[in-house]
Amino acid sequence: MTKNIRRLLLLSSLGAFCAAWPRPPATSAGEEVDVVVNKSNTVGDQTATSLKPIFVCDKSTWPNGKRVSVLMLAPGSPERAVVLRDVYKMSEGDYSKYFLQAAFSGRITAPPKDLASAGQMKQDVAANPGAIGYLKSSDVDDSVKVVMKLQ
Amino acid sequence: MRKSETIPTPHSIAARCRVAVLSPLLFLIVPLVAIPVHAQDAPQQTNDEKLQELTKQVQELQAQVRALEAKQANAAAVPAAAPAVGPEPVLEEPAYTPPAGIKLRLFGDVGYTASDLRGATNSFYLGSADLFMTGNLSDRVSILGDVLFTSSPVDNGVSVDVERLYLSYQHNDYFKFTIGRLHTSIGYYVPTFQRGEWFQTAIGPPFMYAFDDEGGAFPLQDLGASLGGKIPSGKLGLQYVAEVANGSDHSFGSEIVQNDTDRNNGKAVNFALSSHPAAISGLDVGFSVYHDYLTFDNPIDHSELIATVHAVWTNSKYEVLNEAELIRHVGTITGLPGTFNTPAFYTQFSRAFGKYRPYFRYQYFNSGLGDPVYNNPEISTMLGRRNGPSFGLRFDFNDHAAAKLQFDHFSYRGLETGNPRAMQTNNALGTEISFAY
Repeated sequence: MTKNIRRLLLLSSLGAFCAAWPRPPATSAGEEVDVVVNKSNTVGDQTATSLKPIFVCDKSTWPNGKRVSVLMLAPGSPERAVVLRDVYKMSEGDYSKYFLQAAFSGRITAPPKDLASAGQMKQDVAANPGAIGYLKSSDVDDSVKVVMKLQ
Repeated sequence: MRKSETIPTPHSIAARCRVAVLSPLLFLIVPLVAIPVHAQDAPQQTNDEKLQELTKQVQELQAQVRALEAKQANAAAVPAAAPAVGPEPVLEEPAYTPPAGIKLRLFGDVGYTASDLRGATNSFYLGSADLFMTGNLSDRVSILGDVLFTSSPVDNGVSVDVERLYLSYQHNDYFKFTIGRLHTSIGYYVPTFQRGEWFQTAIGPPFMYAFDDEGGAFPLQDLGASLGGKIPSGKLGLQYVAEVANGSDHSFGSEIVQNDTDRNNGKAVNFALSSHPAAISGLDVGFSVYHDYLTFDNPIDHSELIATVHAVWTNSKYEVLNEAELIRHVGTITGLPGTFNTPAFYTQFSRAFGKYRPYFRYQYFNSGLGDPVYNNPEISTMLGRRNGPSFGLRFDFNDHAAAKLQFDHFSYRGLETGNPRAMQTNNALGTEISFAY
């Protein structure tokens, strides 16, 4: 009995330690990043696993038949870093190499389009029925649809 | 001299301007002043009458405002009445606008190699310069062009080769049709790395994937059409490619790829199937089967069957490549019955440590000395057996350029025409700079 309690205490301590372990903030301001699609897109909530084939351009069409158009913020933006870490699971170098190779082997014709600002991202996602991108939670409004929140 | 002809002074000009401006103003001011004079002449109205008149006007205006408000409220309360006025405009989705223009990239490599193989000299070499172009004609139709400039060992010059030129129509993930000059989907290495040295960890492809236009073992480029895509298979992640093409020409002095006319009616066919299971990210296992009738100067067509299998696992840190093939040619060079099998394989392992990636490759290729294709030095440089290990180190300067240093220790049998069974051992040291931009 004492052994079990000791084991339980040990596990609890370990769990508490893991929970308290500092995680890198989602963005420089510690804000969440939302993965967004066009409002007309019928797709439901997504996971990082289901989003990866879309973001790596392995999946070219949405269930409604619309062509997938992946939009990225330019290198250096904190939102992009979160998406590379949580969805792509790649470094910036791996990302660059992956899309160069995908283009060279004929799997894709162009890598995701880089956009300069969150405003442009929101505008493009709202305008293109097949677009998928991401925004800081505070930048999201009714013009786009959130399919996943990255912590 | 007449007065009108006198030269005007600045003062006289200013005076004329004042007259010119003031005269019309006088015409405007005089009537304005005169109007109140006429008004004062009209009979005087009492204040009460004025007040009554103004009150009446205000009442009329209030009545008009009430009427307008009532009309507006009725219109808002009955929206269904709107369609009766006219059809509501349909909001159309904006049409897809493909990225304008062609995306141009440049890949290339140069190197230096030193070898103790008999007859070989230590040399700098120009590997290739590759102008690579892609573009979208619509959201489903794309084009790809790949023009390669390579050094020629024959005359030390530079030759130009349209390596790939094709148009693709991708209906969805399950159906992609491509027509043009393609790289055949045989095995894993060539469809993945093509001729891009920067993409490959090691210097050069394995023996079994030496390019056909450089004396390699089998056709890696062809003119034809292909279908490809995913197969609905859940977590198995199956993908297929089916190709039909002109195949190879082995007549003397001709280009291997039949760019204009197929010398026989038999078409080369290829089918490849691979699996990318969701459970193990980066795993790719598959096979391909290729068949063609090879054309020679004598009117004897030799059946060629190429079967490959591969098991590959890659991620940003590890790279494990394993491939094997069996090439079967039927009939001797003189048309006598006979079957010649050429087995080959390679295994390659590498691991990244930051910007450094040490690697190891062992490869084996063994063609029969009587093989109708490899026994012809005009066609192939792949006669006999060759095998051995390679050790190397790749260093990535940045995301677009890399340097490689590689040591090869190979054994050859069949290089000497007079004594084809003689063995030779060869040590070679090579270095290469490759880039992609």
